[in-house]
Amino acid sequence: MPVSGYLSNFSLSEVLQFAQEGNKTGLLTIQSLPNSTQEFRRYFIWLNQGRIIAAADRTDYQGLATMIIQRKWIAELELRSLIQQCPLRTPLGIYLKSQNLLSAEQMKMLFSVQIIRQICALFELIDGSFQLKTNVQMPYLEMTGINIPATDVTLPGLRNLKNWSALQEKLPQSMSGLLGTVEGPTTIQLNAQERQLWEFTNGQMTIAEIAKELDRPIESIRQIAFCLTVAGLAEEIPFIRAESNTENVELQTISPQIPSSAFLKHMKGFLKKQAKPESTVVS
Amino acid sequence: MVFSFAYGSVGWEFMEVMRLVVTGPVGAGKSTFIRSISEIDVVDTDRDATDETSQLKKKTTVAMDFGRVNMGEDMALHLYGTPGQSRFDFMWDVLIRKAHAYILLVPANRPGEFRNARVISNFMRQRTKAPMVIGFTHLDCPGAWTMENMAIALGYGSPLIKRPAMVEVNPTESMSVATAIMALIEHL
Repeated sequence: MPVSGYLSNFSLSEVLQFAQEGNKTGLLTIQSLPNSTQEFRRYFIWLNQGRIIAAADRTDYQGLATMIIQRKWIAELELRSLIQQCPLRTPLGIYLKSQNLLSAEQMKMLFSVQIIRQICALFELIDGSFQLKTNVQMPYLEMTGINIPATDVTLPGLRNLKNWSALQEKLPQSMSGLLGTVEGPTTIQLNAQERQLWEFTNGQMTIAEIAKELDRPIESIRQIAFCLTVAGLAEEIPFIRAESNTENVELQTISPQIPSSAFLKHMKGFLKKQAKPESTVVS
Repeated sequence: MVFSFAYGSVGWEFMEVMRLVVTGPVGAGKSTFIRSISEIDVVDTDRDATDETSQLKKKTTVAMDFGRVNMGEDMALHLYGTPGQSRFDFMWDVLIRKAHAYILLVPANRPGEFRNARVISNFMRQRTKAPMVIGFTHLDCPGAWTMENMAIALGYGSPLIKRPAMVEVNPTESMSVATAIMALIEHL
């Protein structure tokens, strides 16, 4: 069953995080809404095990070939012939490189245009729809052979975002802290501001306190914090506000007492009388 | 064990109370969940909802819902429902210290609330060792996500992260609510 929805509810960065964390394989379609004031956009992103393997604005598997022809790297007739010869289940980019017709650098450039530049532009959509369908054909003719984690486009996409209004409700609260999810240094390319905030992902300070420490506007830190969370580098951890609202409640992890076994046994019996005979329970 | 003292017709009596906190984002069905099983009229603190919440429903809990289930003269289950709007104020401090277990309700048809639910879940994982069950509601509504996909959206996609038990819940049905609470008890 496809996963679908609207970007106003579940943002593109969350969709990509979901796809990566869920190791999703399939076709993600992003599309602006029909009545939008923005220019209509529809883009197709193919994923394999949570990694982006190809993208295009068409589904006839001619996108990569068109890019190569437009750059005059291979003549059209020759490329069409090569496509016919390309072994089954082999990315076109890998085949062309193996034939010494395209270099690794050219492949990287194509991938950058196909994936990074196009998907980053999608972050500017104020609203749109998304659909992630599994059980689709692998787009071997659109594949350069390069792939990246889905969230690797998130930071570049959000860094250039000018209008954050659509994401306002998603930003970490100023009274929350950040807890890093990656042990040790990260391999993700962070810019200077992101790296600065990354140093504070120990869950000890609120975003408001971090902003004060870094002498930066709170809103700016909230935005960068959001970037780190959807890139999978940190999680938002709320702090509890004290009643006076001037300080945070110092917390330790609480280990609660457990009700007696007699109580639990009695309660189970009581509830069983009211419970449904069948229910869906997964863990 | 937690004991409360109640003065009854035979003098001072021991009463054992289990405290269950029902939490989750706006519109998950927390108040309804408590209402479905409580033997007393739920003490609710509904107020007129404002802003975005009002587009979903007219009223929303701003302090805490309370319900009770008596299981005999000396045993009771107390249910506390947290406010839907995420204000982690001093009340959470009280709940964390007193609660024996939690159920986090998540509406399957409102992906816009998954991030809120994820933040609540993060909070629980960090601040308390009390067992938690996730109850997915509104699974029969249009646009509802599957339980597996919601688990991923809540941050439980990696096999390295231990998943809590996850159940399907219809908060309007007492039988379904009872089943969810039973799933929680299994983990105590």
